[in-house]
Amino acid sequence: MEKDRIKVERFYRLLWPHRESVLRAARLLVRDAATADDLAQETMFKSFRSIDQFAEGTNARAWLYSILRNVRIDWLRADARRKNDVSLDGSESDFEHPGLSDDPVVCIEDGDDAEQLMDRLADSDLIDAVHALPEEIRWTILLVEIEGLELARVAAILGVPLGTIKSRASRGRAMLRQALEPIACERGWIRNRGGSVPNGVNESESSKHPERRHD
Amino acid sequence: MTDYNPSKQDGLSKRLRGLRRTPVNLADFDARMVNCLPPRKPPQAIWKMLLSQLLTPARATAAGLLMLIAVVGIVVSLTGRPALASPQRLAEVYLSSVDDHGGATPIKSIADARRALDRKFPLAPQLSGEPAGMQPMSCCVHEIGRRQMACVTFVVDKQPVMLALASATDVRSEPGSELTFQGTTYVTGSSDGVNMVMIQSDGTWMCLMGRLSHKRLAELATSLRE
Repeated sequence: MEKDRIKVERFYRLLWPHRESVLRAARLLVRDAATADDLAQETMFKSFRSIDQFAEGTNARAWLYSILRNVRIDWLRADARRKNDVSLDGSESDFEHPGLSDDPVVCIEDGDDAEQLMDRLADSDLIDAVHALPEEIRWTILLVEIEGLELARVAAILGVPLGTIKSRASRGRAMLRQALEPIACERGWIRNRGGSVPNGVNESESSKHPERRHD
Repeated sequence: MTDYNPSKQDGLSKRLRGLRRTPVNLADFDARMVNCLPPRKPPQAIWKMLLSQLLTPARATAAGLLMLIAVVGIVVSLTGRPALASPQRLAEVYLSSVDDHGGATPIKSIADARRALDRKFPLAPQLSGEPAGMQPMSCCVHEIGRRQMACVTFVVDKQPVMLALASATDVRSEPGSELTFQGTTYVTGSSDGVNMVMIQSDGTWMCLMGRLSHKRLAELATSLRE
């Protein structure tokens, strides 16, 4: 009885405050909100059952992400058994975004203009682009770029070498830029590949239209 | 492909990092989690915590005073004044017992009613003998403003008539019209088609109600009191 009380107390003190991070991560991993909520719920429930294995003083958020990762893998495996056609290794070639090649041509380059462009994008644009990434790259972008975990810790959570994390992070960023570029072109913020009239970010245009709406 | 440099903070990185602050609604999530997790604090833990908070001398004194005030307040509210029996509330009691038979115990005699009421309401005012021309049908205990009253339903003139009895210190009648029958004055009331005559004497509050006329009810009440 006393042991159970201590377990409950530890859970609510150490892990419960991080449920928002878990829920947010699940929603960035999975497009369907209801499935993401189920994933986060299962993660928190498993963390409660395994609280004895959590070492107080270590990174609770990282520990929860490890559980989230395992739950997600279990679900994908179960899904694969049902459908018999789902890739389990998170193949990086299953990039879902239409019109993207394996060798992205990045038009949004780093620099002041690119920074302005990024500011003009809505969160939902970025989240859609993250959702469209392949599973393993999505995990990497989530943990490295969004959650800001150390690369070594991400490597430990995902169970791959540090070099793989660096490579996936770099590739993920390129894919995101490639996914976001058509949006910027469509909204007339950058010159499209055909070279038609730019409508926003370059220096002359932006100075002419300082009041342009940020979508 | 260029090698990844985590220290390089460009626009994309900043925007991605900003997603960490995306608001999520925890209310629904927490509500779901409650169903599969134990409560944060078991009840005894809350009491222990409260006691530990209170058990310093100054706090204990203040807590004692507060407790005393609370207890006195509760006692005064429960015992200070009799509950007011409004015609609306009495009609509700009548309709719930007679029409819906809610919680009533079937009886065949006043002796049955005494036995049944003794179990439910030992302090109920005692019923007199078998009233002539009134066939006991059921009995039950109802509450008015947290005060109990014993109720016995009879069949009179093929109509259900309910007798309600309570201590006069517990229940009193709402002021209303008066009707005098054979020298006894009753307070009368009506609600939802239910008529009632009420009287208070010898420390007992009594009400007879039904769909009969006030005069007929007064006549029956008088016979019950004899």
